[in-house]
Parts: sequence; C-alpha cells; structure tokens
Amino acid sequence: MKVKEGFIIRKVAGKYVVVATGEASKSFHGMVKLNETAKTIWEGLADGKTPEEITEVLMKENNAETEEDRKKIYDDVQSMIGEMREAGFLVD
Amino acid sequence: MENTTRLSELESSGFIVIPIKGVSMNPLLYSYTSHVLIEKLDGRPEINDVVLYVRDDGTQVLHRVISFDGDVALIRGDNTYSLERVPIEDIKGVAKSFWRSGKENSREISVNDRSYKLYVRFWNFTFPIRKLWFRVKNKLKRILKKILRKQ
Repeated sequence: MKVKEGFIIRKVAGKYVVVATGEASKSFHGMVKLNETAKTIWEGLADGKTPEEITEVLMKENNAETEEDRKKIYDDVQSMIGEMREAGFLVD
Repeated sequence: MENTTRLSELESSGFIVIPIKGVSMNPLLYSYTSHVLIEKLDGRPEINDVVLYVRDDGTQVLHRVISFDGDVALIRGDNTYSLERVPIEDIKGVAKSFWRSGKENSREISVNDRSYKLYVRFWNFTFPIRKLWFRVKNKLKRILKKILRKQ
C-alpha cells in the first residue's frame, strides 16, 4: 500500500496541503488539507511504511506510552487510510 | 483530511493552492508542473497582481492585471497578447506565491521577492518587442505554409 505518484505536500502558512503534480494534476484539481497527524500518516504511507510503523512514529511524536494510546493512534491511522483509499489516493 | 473544491475552499479558508493548467502564464508558470498559492481577494487587486477570476462560462483563469478601466480590470496572461476585460467582482483571489517546479523541494517564490519583482518589470518592459516578434513569427508561418502548399 502506497500513496499514488503525483501528489506532493506543500507547507502554507504553517499548514500542510496536498496538491497534484504532473499527470495526477490532469484529473485532480483540488487540495487536501492535513493536520500534523494526517501529514505524518500521509508521509509514512508515501515512504512505504506499514500502519504499525506509522503508529510508532506518531507515538513518539505525541510522547504517548500506554497501550490505550497505541490503540487509539492505530485506529486513527486506519481511519485515515480508509479515507485515502476511498478518495483514490492509495495503490496496493 | 479534507478534500474540497477550489472556490468554496477559497471562500471558507481564505486561501488555496492550485496546480496550473495551460501555457498562458509561461515562462513564470508551467502546465501540470507549477503551483500557486492564492488568497481570497480583499478589496481591489493591484496592477501587476496575478489574479484568479471566473469567466461567464464558469472557467477559472489565472492571469495578470495590466490596468483598470473604472471597475473593470484589463487582464493578460504573461504568454498572451490581448487584453481581457474582467469586472472586478469576478476576481476571486490574488496570487501570493509560486512553486514553479512540481518537485516536493521546489522553492516557494513570494510575490514580494526581489527576483519576482524584477521578472515582472522585465516582462512588462519587453511586451512591445515580444508582441512584434509574435506577429512577425505568425506572418512568416503563414507565408511558409502558402509556399509549401504551392509546391
């Protein structure tokens, strides 16, 4: 599972947005706004990381330690993956 | 994660980042490569602003303001040679910065950058020469076509 080619993150006034470039910009003209967590998930998937690996990165970023935190973060990662898949940003 | 359409996003967030489609803003911006940060227009645009406006048929266009005629802006693409009359009320946003290359590490060029301001001055200054060359080139093309057809 990876982010489709042709989507890049731009930082605008402290916020992150995803825009299309090259071939992808012929069909996708919009923009996706990401918060810090969503940006880490997007970048993780773009780097080929697994949901478990992304969860660990987010655990460190948020100084989270408990199993409860890990479960919550993992659920967030899976939920965003679901949204990205539905919107057509992912390839298997 | 929030995926929205351009104009509604511009209205609600006050800014949008859009990819460029078409060659009318060459050599500043390139089709399917460059991106532009546009902020919602607050009041009137200024001369030399690159603005996003909506034509009667709904097409969204990003071109440069050259001058004003009352409440109408006279607008032209950096790579076009005729002026378009656009009511100011149809102008929705103004460009604040550009990423010319489609790469992740592409440098963001602000409209306040010295290099950008120099480009605008140079491009405006050379417009009459470029227009003349454009006409000569087209005439030569037509003559060449006629000659080739006769053979």
